[in-house]
Amino acid sequence: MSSDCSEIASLVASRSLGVLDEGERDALERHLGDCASCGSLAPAFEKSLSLGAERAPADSWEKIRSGLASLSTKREEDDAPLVRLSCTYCHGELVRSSAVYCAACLAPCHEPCFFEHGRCAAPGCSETRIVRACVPAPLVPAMPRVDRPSRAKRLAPILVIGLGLGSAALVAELIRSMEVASQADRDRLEAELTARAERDLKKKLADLLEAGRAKLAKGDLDGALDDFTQALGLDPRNALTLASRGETYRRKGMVDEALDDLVRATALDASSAAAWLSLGSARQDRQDYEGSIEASTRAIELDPTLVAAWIRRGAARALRGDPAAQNDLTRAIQLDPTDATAWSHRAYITFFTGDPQNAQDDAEKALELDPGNALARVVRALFAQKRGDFDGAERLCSMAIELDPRLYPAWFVRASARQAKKDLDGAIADYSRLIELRPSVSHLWIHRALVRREKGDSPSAIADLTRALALMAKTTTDARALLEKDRLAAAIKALERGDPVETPLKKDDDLKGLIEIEPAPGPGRDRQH
Amino acid sequence: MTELESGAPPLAADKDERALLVLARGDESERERALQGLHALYKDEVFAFSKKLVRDPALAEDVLQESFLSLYASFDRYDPERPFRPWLFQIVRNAAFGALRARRKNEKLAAGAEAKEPSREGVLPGVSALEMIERTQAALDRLPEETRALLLQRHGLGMNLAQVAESFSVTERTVRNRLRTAADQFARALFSKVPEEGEAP
Repeated sequence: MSSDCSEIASLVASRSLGVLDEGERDALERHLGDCASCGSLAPAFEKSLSLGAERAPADSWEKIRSGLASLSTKREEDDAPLVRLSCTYCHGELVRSSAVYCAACLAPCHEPCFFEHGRCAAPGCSETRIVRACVPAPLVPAMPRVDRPSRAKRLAPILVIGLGLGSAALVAELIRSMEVASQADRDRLEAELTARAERDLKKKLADLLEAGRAKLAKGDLDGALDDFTQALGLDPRNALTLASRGETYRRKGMVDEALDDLVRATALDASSAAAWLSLGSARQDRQDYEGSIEASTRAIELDPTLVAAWIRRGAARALRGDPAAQNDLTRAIQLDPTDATAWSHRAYITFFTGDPQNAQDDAEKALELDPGNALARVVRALFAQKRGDFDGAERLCSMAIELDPRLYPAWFVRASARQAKKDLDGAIADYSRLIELRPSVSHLWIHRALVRREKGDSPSAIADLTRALALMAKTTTDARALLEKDRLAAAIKALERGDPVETPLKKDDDLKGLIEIEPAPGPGRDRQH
Repeated sequence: MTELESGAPPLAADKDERALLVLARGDESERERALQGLHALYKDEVFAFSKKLVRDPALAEDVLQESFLSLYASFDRYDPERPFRPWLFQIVRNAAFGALRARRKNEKLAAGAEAKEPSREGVLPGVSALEMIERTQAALDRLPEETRALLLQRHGLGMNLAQVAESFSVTERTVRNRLRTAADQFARALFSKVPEEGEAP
């Protein structure tokens, strides 16, 4: 044996124990080829650890049996009741050797009863840990029970699902399973019931989701909301249902609720492009354009073919004066040149930010693809208004509203056309409808306030401006927003004093207010929800 | 009287460990029958393991008896979803350690008692195969009891890493690390010279 035989002995032992690394095996084999002493070490090591053919003494069972008899006598002595105990859960008789005690209130209980109940059964106590009486016991390792939850914990999900689905049959079978005496039969029944409950739950969830999505597509927002809320009652962590409900809230104008659901949905499933798209829309409703662009970008990264995401980002970029907006809308058209929605959106954005001739061409293309495209008619109305043809603008917008009553720009352009025609009641009615559809858009309140002031209704105008100020307080705190708030606050004070009021809207605010209320997603873009 | 002649149904002959473990959750007579069956299944293996661990046939017999009595007393704590054999040898190991502790206490009390000394020389070049076995055995005997139990369960009982991990209530990675450490300890013991009495180690 050479000087490095000591290290080799360790490797020999490791090989015999089956824990030798692959890299060490070669070194060991090389050494064993050269060193005869080390070659004899492996058999010696294995022989030393071998148990051989040892036989237990023939009388060992007799000795154990007599040991059992004395153990039994000792247990009877231990179990002699000094104070009569009863189980807190089943009220049955208890003996010391089988009693466990609540770790908090020391209420006695059978151990199986404690785990059946899942916690202490004493009134007012919910402790889940136990202690045992301090009696001498042989040194025996406790078997960990962590792999097998208590019966109550195992059955609770089935009961919750059964009650949630209103399935009386499932609950009845659950109760029957508890009456089965054999542990093996109980386990089998529990496994069957769990599988069945999960199957029923999945089917119910799928049905509710499908029904909700159908209602959402038809515009039955309250019906869709009911279905999604019911589904979330059964599975609160379902990202798809959360995203769908968030989108429904958003379309109802309940932006806070929408943001809650959509943020949770994207946290639960960050791979859902539809959820990110809806989050982008909700953030835009909240006038958080940076957030909207960020969420829309995530949606595009996850699904670069999602036309609605390109349109959404294009709109948000347009609101920030970013020339890349046109590129996004062009990309949307490239993805689906037959999508009239993409053409009409580019026409709408281009009217405000690009070459009006291009806007007109895009609008005509949209109408060529889909004569029923309402937004393209709004673009036509914008051109009519620009020419001073307010009657024509009002007529075109009325047609667009007839085609799509939820198309916000149609209401907005008609309101401004009516205001220009001094049809102030008509303009107030249109702005009121817009506020009903999008109550969180501060500029709508300002526009209505301006019409009301023009009509001489200062108290109502002050109320509208105050509401707009409150909404702005919820939005961004950047310098521009603060400036807008200052102008708004000054306008309110002037109105209260009865002084002449300068419009709190700057020249480009008309544009901003209009694009902010861009069209709701059309049916073609609902496919993800 | 052998155990099969004792009047109990020949459950042990069936070697149906599962059935025995179901019986072990029954009433007192069923538990005794279960113990008898498990004794028939495992007695030789438990005895061989104990003898190798405590290195004393008489003490190994005590360990055998104590192990099965402990097993009987802890039937209630057995989880049928976990493997039985690693748990049994956890009980046997604890019984053996308890017996060794008690013996050491008695030896301290008994004046002049001397343990059998292993070889006082390290491994030298050119040892014969027989001598190598003696020296290997001596090196193993000088390892801590826990380490020897680990080596015996892995190699002597042929348990896989998962079963050893179950028996020691640790992860497989820990078992692997402990086995590597045990191999190092064995190599050091094999090559180290045992100090003479009064000599500094």
